[in-house]
Amino acid sequence: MKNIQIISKKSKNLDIMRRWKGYIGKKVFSNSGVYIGKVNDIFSQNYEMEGFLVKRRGKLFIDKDYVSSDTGEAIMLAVEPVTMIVGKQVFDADGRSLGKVLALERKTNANAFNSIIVKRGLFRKNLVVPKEDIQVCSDNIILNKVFDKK
Amino acid sequence: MEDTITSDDILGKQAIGPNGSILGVVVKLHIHKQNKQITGITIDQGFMKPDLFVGLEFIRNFGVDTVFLSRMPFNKYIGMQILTADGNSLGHVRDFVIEHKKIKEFVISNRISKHTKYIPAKAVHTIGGSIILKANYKE
Repeated sequence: MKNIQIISKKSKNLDIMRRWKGYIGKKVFSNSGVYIGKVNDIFSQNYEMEGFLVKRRGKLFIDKDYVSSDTGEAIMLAVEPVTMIVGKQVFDADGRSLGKVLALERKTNANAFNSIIVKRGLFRKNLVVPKEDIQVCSDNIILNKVFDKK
Repeated sequence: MEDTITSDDILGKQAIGPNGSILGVVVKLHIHKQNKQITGITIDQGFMKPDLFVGLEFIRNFGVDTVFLSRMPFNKYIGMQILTADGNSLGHVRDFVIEHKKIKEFVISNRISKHTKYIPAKAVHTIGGSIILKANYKE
């Protein structure tokens, strides 16, 4: 790295080091190629990077353990962040449109959920669907069972 | 009669791909004149997008509010971004080459260089929001 003066007790090769500034503004994609957002900030503890903040609609902290690659033009995750499920449409096995995902029930901050809460519309009670009843969880959600029309 | 549905049960319904993606609204039913069988449906994909014909063999079932497709129509891949496993963008899908009813190659072009490249389908790792190539793919 030219024109950088180094002050360090040890011999340092800056060319082989990664600059955190390079992460800012990088696009982040899920493991299926869904665009999640851009890196807005980096979180570190004891001088080690712990994860980064992705900004799109709202802010999302993603632990570095969920990153599969960060050497290219974009950051590729090894997972589909479960928070992306919110807002997706839900259909039952009979093709009945049940509503949209309002929220997730999660026990921990891990990339997992126990159930989804489906908003069914005005004057109708929200529906809680356990994870085991979900057959497809991708662009939208398709359940593996039929819900009676209520 | 319980197993019978009418055109009202199909027309106007959303067409859903196997991954839950909403392709559009069913606007037409196609019926073969001689054997009087349904041959497929036409999906209105929305403003400024061409209508999409889907053959009956790609329809999984007719649901209450939706029509489920068994496979994503190949045309939906056009315009999709292709990324390497590292997240580098190679371009967007411009066309595809079909062999034995499956995609053999994706034809991609880069908006900046305008060069056309052929990516074999077996180099693809995942197709979701984008097309991600396998880690061992080399340009």
